[in-house]
Amino acid sequence: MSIIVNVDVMLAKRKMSSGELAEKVGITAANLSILKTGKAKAIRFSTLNAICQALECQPGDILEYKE
Amino acid sequence: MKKKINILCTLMLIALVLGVKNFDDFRGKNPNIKYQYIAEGNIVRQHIDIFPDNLIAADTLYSATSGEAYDACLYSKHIAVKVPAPSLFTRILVKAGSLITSIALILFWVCFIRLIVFINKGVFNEMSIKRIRWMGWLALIIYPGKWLSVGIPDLILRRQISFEGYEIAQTMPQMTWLIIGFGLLMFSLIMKMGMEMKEEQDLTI
Repeated sequence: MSIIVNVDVMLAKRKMSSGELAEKVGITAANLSILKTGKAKAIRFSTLNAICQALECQPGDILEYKE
Repeated sequence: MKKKINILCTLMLIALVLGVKNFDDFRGKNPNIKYQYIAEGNIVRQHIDIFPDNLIAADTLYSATSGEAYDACLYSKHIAVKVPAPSLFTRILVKAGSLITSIALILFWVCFIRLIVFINKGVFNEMSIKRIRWMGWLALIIYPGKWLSVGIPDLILRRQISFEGYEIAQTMPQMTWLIIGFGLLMFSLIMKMGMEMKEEQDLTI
């Protein structure tokens, strides 16, 4: 898939750990790992909303399209 | 995948229609033919069922309970017919048919038992789907195997005997295996679709 998930980049920018983000968003660390490694097939708007809220960023900062 | 399901659906429907037609040929009776193709020299013993061509000329059976009369529409005969010894090729074909049927039947039940034994590990997994698909293919293999082992002796016998005013029941193998085969293949495809949907659901964050 050509959609790249840049959660780890944003985590580094915000100096936040994966565990902390998982706790703030309300998802398991395993699910966050699936998202970070690009294995996820889909992401719910509610999850995206929570991630953006926790990382104080826009959806475009997390998701990127590459040819 | 949907196209595959459509094709399998059509094939199963054809098998069902042919099965019903076959059943109708026996006038609602299962001929229960015993395939005792025991050649003693060139004598073939076989159990056959015959239908009278004209039901008016058939024997009438009187039911003491209901007081009604019924036409005997099926007769069973155990016959011994002198036939020329079948060629080596024919014998090989018949034996091969029996062998294919036996092996496929054993493998079919092995797959079925393994499916039941490992059901606790979950049905929506690659292995279970693979087993169901195998069962489907094996059921489809059983049908031509039966055709070879049963159809050829029947053809040979048919060339040798005929009864005036009676029709010999065809020893055509039942369509059940074809229907089971197509049904299982369809089921495995639906299971595969289900598994993909489950996987997608699991990977939705």
